[in-house]
Amino acid sequence: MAMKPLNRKAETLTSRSPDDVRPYTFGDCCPGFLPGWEVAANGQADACGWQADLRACHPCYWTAQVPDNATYPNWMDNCGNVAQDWETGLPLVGP
Amino acid sequence: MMKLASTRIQPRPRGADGRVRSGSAGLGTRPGSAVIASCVAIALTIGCTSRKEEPAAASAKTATVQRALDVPRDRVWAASTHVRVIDAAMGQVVSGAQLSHAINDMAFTADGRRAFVASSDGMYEIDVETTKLGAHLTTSPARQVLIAPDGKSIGVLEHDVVVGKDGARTVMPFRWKTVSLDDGKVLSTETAGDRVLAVAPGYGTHASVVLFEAGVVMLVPAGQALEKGGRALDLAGGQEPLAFGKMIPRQYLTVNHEGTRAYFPVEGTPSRILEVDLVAGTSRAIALGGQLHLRGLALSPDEKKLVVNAMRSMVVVDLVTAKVTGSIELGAAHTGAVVSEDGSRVYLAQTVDEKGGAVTIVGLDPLRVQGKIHLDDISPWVIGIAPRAAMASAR
Repeated sequence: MAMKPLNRKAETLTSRSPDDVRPYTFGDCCPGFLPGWEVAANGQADACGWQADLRACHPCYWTAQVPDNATYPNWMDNCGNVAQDWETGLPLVGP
Repeated sequence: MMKLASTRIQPRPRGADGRVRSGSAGLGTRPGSAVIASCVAIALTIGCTSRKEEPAAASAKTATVQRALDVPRDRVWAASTHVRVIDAAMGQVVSGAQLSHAINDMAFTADGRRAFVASSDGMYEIDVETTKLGAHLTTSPARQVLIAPDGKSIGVLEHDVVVGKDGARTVMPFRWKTVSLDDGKVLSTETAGDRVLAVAPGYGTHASVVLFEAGVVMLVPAGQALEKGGRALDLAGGQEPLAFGKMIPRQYLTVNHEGTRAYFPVEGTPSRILEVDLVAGTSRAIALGGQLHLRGLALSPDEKKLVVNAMRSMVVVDLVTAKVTGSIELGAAHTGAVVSEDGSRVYLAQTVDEKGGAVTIVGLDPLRVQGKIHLDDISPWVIGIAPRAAMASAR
């Protein structure tokens, strides 16, 4: 179910063109406090719009969201089509 | 049989003999494309060549035809966990290889016959003409492949992960392994260090560069082992950061044909390119202006221009003057870049395009986006061009 903006600030945010990648970063690596993996800018389930940059995040250390590919080199092996496969193709990595 | 991705750009119409008819290039099917004009020019020019002409006039006409034939003739290789080969003129996928392992880099021999990919399952060879998977040359996860300037060997950056009984993972030091292109035998293995992003080897005659995940870039003197390290390069290079002071080198390292100069992107404010003269052991920074996310580098064939993938835009740098000469918006996030053999175009991988990916084509003169080839079934993050020698010999 899509999320609906309930106040002016939320409406402002939803009226903006979606930021595809990383409005907030730690150092240089991966998204910090974007909506998360669950919700895209349009309210639909999505890897918060930054699938396109998943590969660039993967070599880095932001293991809370994207494991680095030195430790998990096979992490994206089942994700040849990021837009379609990220939900099922990316394995969860625990601490 | 492998199912190939369809594309949104229609293939060029073919005559009864199966040949592609001139004046109807696939890219030209896009409304507003300047390629249409080029193709019209082709038809018009060819139409005028039926009468007898003096040799000089014929030569000039040939040059005109060549200029008018402004249709991309490249075979572009786009890869994610699989490889798709795209005929840029037809605007569609013509072959591919199923690897099912994340591909991190690719390289081609100068004769264009052999391709090598660095994958999470090691280095594979692919026959360019048939796109059949060949030798599985190494088995450790590989990040980078680089063919030596003499064409006799290929270097691969690899490492191993040891998984303990408790599931804890230990990342072992990265190695630079050199493999013979004649027989696939390992010629040498050298420890490069912990968590290495990329290596520009010195081949014993000049300095090497090693990029580390930690944000350090080492210049290792000629003849010295990589693991012994060297001098940390000044990433500012005279272009001091304006804010936060954080500068992060990215893994998109590129090396000139002779292997004597290395280029790598450094993100910061401003973002910049670091050019390292591996013979003199010097470096300089070329400021790109602004805080750009850098996702690929490619040298032009004459090595006078450097194309920088700035994710949503593309920047062109004149390496003679060390100045940015142009930039263009791409409209979406891209990864990687490669310049065509004639230096006229750049191909960039658009990792996500609707439910698949795409390859974006950018003309360099004038600087403009010429088109996009949609890929249904992969989201490419690595891109390369098979040298044309292979196609000439394959026909």
